[in-house]
Amino acid sequence: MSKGIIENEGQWDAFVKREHLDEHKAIQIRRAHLHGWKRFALIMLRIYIISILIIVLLGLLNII
Amino acid sequence: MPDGMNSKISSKIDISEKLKELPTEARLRAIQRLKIMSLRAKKGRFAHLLLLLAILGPGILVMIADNDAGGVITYAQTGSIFGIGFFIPFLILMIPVTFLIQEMAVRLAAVTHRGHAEMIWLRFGKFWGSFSLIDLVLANTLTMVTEFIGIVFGMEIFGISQLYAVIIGLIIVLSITLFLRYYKWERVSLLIASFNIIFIPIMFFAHPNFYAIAQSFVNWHINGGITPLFIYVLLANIGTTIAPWMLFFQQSSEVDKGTTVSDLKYAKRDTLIGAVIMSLVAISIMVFTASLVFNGNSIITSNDSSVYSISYILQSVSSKIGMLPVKLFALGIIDAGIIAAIVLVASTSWAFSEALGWPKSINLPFLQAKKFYLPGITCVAIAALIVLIPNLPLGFVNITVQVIASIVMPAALLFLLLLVNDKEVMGKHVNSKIHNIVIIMIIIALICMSMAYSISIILPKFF
Repeated sequence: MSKGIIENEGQWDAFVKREHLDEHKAIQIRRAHLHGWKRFALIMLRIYIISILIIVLLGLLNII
Repeated sequence: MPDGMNSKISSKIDISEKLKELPTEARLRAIQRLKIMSLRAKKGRFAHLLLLLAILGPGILVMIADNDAGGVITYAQTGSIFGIGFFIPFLILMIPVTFLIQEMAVRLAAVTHRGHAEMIWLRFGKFWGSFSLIDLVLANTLTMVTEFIGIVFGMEIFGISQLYAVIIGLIIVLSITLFLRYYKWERVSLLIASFNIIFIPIMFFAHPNFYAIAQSFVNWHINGGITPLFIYVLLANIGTTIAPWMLFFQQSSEVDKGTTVSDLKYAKRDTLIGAVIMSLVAISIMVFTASLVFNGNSIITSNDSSVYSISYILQSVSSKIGMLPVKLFALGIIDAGIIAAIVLVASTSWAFSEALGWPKSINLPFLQAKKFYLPGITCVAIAALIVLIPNLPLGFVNITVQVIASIVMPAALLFLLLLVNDKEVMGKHVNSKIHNIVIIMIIIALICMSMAYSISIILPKFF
């Protein structure tokens, strides 16, 4: 299967690291610091969600 | 060089023993990754083809599953209402659009080795994480309801009752999810998905006018002109072609498969092949009904909505060319419902487990990872039960699916764009400026369309 590709411990360790087979050594992802256009985009997303919810409410009132 | 390092390089190892040291999910993934590694070391076209075949999977699966039962019905209705014209080139245009969006999810998976739900949770916090998760799970469950409606409809043509149709569908979906580990799960799912191509030969039963099809690319003619019905159908086609679960599914699937940055070239090809198949199948369905059912502008101007129904369309087909194509079409709808349900179950389980830090791999047997499988099983079971409710308000289910999708889609796309431009996460794999401009334009268009679609459903008199 892997004859000639992984022959020693060093190559195996490199393979495990490269393929992210060890969950505990996965890249750590930290909470993003949002500023500038990213912060603006998320504010716009909140506005979009609220407007969709208002439309849903209007739709429900129409049905009732 | 230190002694330890020297001994690591010189001592021969037994790969089988080393594999046993890995946890179950990593061991199964490592076996496949070793095969890919060994193929990559070989030269020649045949070796490259084998490498492509080994990496193919998530991209084709996500795109074909997107031609789900609801999608097949939408394309059939579009063909019968508008005939051959605008929507044929439109679906070709959707190839680069879906590819460009899904490609970002592939890249994000290859670089971070984390699913979309997990990335949103970790990078943007619990509020956006739980918001995306709840929306996705609700949308997935309701989409599964539509898949079961498709399965029931298809099986009824073969004389199978509603109850048996739901039970058969549920058994197939759960067996594949619970008894197959990732590699076999993916291959069996691809095998089921390949049946989606049946719509291409079905099209030839209609003896399509290929000259008219070629002409549609030249003039993009809209039969009946731009009317509220045209806008509604256009939005339905966009909603069918691009769905929020696709991002979550493909990213998680690439992570579980073990896609790395070195596989990106082939993983992108996988996505492109999937997008092309998806469009060809959709066009075939449209051409089939357009050639047999479309009758000038009589349907477009009709006020009777029953002429848009799939039952009416198939009755019309059978009266012209007999029952064989109708039965094949019904088999296609059943298959589309089943493959989409399999993919939606996996997507739900991955998203839940990624967000809540539970085990998150199809490589784990059910008994070792009950928490992982439970969300998907629960959602599919709820969907199956909902379908069995007598006089189910289908309209309400459809409205709810579209409303939730219209909320999830912009959010999921925005988070995808933010993540894929995040240098801290993506390093040199961030989007290029041109890529960003194209994607932002697509996202703005999609947000407007998806908002217009939900308005057209919730407030039908608005347009």
